[in-house]
Amino acid sequence: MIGNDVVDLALAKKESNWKRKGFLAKLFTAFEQELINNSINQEDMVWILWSIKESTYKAYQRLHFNRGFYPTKIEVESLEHIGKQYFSKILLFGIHFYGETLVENQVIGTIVVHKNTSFKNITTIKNNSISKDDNGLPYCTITNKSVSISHHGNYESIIRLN
Amino acid sequence: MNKQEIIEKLKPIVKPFVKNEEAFANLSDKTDFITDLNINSANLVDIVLDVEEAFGIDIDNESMEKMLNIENTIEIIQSKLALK
Repeated sequence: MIGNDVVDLALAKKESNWKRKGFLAKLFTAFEQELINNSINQEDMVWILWSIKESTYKAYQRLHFNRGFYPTKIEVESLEHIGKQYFSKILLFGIHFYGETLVENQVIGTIVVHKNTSFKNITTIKNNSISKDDNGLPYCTITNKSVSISHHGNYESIIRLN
Repeated sequence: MNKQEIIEKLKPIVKPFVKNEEAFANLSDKTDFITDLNINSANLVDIVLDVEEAFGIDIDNESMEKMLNIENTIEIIQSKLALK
């Protein structure tokens, strides 16, 4: 069970004003807001945490389909920063997920998996042979396996589990 | 406020975030913000905050959870207005 998300930071700057009143409180838990407040680059941290939440939401839909806008229920429990990468542990509806985020050249890319061991079984693929199931979730029409798609601005990422 | 009045007040709030103009032109209560209007999910919070301002209401997290389409949004606005 996987989910991904990319954020084009230049576009995010145009599309969202994360400093507007109420924005952070509606999207982030107290712990996450503290991570943002304590961060040297607060804007990057907003979108790192957001991409982790988006990816987790997508991964969760594969376990239990539950559409909704519930960003504060997707709780980032820990975030470890090593070089350009961030490693996260996330809790949603009692289920733990694990995230890897890469921040490079004005783009943020996150992959979230249900089991920590699944990262090595993830492949990046091209946009072909993809269809959507009855719930609108994408899958590969050749292998029938789940894929996760994200595009934002100039960036796109499509991944699948092997 | 009736349904049509709410829709007319909602349109200019939603418009700046719309990425599918054709779906917006054909807006109905079944229109979905994400799957029909292709609104970036990060902008849903802007719609929630703008609705709070425009209608003078507070939208709690439980209500926000369902704010994915026009129909639910109208219902939430009506129920919050009734509390005023």
